[in-house]
Amino acid sequence: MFVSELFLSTIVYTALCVSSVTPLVLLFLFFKDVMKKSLW
Amino acid sequence: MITHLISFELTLAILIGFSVLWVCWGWYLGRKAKSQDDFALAGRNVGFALATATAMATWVTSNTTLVAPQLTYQFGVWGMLGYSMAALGLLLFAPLAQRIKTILPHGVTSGDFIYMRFGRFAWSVFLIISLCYALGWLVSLGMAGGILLSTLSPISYHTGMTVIITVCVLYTLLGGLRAVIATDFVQTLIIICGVCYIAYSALGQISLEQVHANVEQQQPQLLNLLFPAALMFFFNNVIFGIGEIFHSNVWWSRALAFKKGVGKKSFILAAMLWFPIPIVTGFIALSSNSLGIFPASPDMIGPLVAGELLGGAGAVLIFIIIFSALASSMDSLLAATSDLLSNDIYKKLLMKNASTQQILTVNKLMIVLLGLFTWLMSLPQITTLGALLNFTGAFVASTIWPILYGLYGNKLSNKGAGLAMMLGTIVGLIFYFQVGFYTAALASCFVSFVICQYFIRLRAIHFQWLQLKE
Repeated sequence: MFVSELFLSTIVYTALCVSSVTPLVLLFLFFKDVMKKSLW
Repeated sequence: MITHLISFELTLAILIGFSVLWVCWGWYLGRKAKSQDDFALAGRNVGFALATATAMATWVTSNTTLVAPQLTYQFGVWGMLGYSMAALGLLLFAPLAQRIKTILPHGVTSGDFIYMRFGRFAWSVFLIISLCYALGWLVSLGMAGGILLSTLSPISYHTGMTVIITVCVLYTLLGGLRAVIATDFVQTLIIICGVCYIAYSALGQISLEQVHANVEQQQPQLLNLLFPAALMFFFNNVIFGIGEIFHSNVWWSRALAFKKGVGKKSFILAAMLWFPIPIVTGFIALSSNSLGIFPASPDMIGPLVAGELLGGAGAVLIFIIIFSALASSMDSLLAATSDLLSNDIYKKLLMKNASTQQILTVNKLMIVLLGLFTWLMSLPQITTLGALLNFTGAFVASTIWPILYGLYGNKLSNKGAGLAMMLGTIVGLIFYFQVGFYTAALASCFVSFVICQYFIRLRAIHFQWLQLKE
């Protein structure tokens, strides 16, 4: 039972998409906490 | 073999630049920390953004950037997915974090809970396990620093690991957990942006179709979903990751440091965002065949492939990524282990009436001693990173059930918890040496579960939760 090219592409591209938006998510949360003065 | 992709001068400039940045920032954040709560638990009021980033950064270690490619190189697709499943540890710890904050509002370490819930015998076994794991992880991080520098630059293994250990000791010493969490945030951004850039660049140069076709032709077992050793590794890694997070004071101190109501959601989000990272770092290793890269030691595969694909710039980028990943984990581990030594060993065993100031002083001394120990143990590069990491799996997996039954149940006794951890670890170690590193955590967890079940069903106690408030 071998991994197809489609399966490999799907997991790699999905992982890349999620990782690409991660910095934006973290920065958004950071500035939200700064505005609410609840960073620490 | 690709070596010295970064010149000596450039390596030195990067090292000095980042070292000065982290140390000065650590000093700035730590200058107002006067109490142990401030130093060890960042004032117990960390918000959602920093909580999520620190959970992610601590879990994105050198192992994610060096060992995930190594395991993909050895076990193929299951290696990549197996490493990703370590995110389950973060996910399952989310409800525990909430529970820990609720039942232990004034606690400082994981040792506090084990001592109060189970008593001295289980606590002693737990401390031994916890320290073996923490020291094993610290040494693996020190080794990774040396491997990274010696692979990519003319700087020797010994100089590399000396620099990384010294920098982490300095800024953890100056800033405590506040510095650790703040630097973690920036390090997370650097790591993820860098990893994505390398992956996109790699895909621009070598297509997934080519990678798949080459692997299928030359090493088809790496694409085999029924590859037995890889399947075993997959399940072993899930258990290992859960054991690491459930028992380690690195995570307990975070659960206690986060603002009330933040722990659960920050661990859930961190798990979701962490999950794809090992896939991104791991897939690069699959292309090594197509590029004709066959490293002397498999843990060098990630940096070598990045260097081959992107040349000098890629080497600089992966150097910065792994340097950040190393620092983000080593600082956390130094802070959490020194808490354990000062709060559990010094306060509970040696100096029961120690003042907060005395504990704080011992805490800082422990950070220095831990750094020194890590340096000494990393000097002889005795094993590969993957092997060292999985060795500790035998220890940590035995703690999963005692901690769960301890947090959520009242029937497991001191003797039951202690024996479950002790015998689980022993059997795990036997499997590590006799069967394979990828079975240690599974065996340890299974034996620990059986013993817990025996004591809960046949030797149950009725623990009074009020005792934890004392």
